[in-house]
Amino acid sequence: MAELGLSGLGIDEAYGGSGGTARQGAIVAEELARGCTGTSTIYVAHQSLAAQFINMHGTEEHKQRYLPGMTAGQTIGAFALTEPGAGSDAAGIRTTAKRDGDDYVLNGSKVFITNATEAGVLIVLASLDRNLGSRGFVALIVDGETPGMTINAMHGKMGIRASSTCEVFFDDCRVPVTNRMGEEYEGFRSTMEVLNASRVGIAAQAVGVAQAAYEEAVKYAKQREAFGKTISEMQGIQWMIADMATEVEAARLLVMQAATLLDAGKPFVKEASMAKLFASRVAVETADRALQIHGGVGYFSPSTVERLYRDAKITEIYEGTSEIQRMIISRNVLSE
Amino acid sequence: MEGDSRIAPTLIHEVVTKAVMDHLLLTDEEQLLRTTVRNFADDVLAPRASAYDESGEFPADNVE
Repeated sequence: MAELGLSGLGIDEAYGGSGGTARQGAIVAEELARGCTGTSTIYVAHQSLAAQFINMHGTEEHKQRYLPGMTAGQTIGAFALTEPGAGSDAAGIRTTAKRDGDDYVLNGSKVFITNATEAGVLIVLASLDRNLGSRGFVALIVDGETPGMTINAMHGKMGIRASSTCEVFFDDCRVPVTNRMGEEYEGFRSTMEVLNASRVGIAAQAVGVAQAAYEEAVKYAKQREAFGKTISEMQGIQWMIADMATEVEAARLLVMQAATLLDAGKPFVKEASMAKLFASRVAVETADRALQIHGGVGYFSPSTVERLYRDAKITEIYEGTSEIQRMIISRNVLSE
Repeated sequence: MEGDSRIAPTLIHEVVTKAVMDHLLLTDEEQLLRTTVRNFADDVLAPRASAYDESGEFPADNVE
């Protein structure tokens, strides 16, 4: 991916990036997911969350120090927000950052962190004052080998297995104050800006999963014979294929609509959530139909549809569950 | 009138053909990007996807 220049997409050219638009980012995320969902997860966490956080909110020094290695694919990035007690309710994080001289001292733990095992750099959100909720956040860059930080890979994941998902523990982990992005108490706002933009890429990833499942279904339906003809000649299968084709296309259009608005500097948050909500449902339902068309063959590993069926589900959960997307959409609709 | 009737179908044909070929009205640059990444996914990612799903190892060769 780095050789193709994909790791630098959306990152300023001054730091080894290749610039680019949200539409291009969506195209890349979809196509990567179509080939390997786990790899696209690595890509989105690394590029759209970690590198983009530094690109958007880091200082000139941060950008020069971290982005060239990240755009070259030599330094993997991770984004550490979620905690055991703070998933959808991100403002409830309990990892604390206490100022001590020229350092912050981190204590607490993170969970479900993509790429952390391989990460050379982690973006960590911590609370300066838990009583302040979302207004107490600070965003820090933590180097991968920092003493006091322990990373454990989590096992038993249903899908996207090429990507690591990890627990991260902080035990008096000292991070220089110079590693702070933005001002103290403003980390939540920075985080939401990054998450809003990356949501378009996650929606595009869901389209890629759906597209892959749809293509597998069409291919199989044309070759599998039953009752003296291919199953693609049966109306029941034809209708399933028509629904899949239509829904995948509709999901892709919603994604491109959100990306186009983002690129135009117009409000896009509602549209990004609509794209994420719809595309993730289409991914799950298309993978389900594709497996149904395969019958028993699709239920066994290693079949592509069996993997896609497991991969699809995460798109309804991470980077804002479908319930959170509905909250964002309704909040926007009702305040219009 | 006669001239119009000869030109119009050609124009319509061009517009329709372009709309179909430029899927989603992608720019030439976007279409090239899609083709490039699609080929990469088909040639490099997809053949290894099952093995990485099985092993759970970090796909360093995909990331490079």
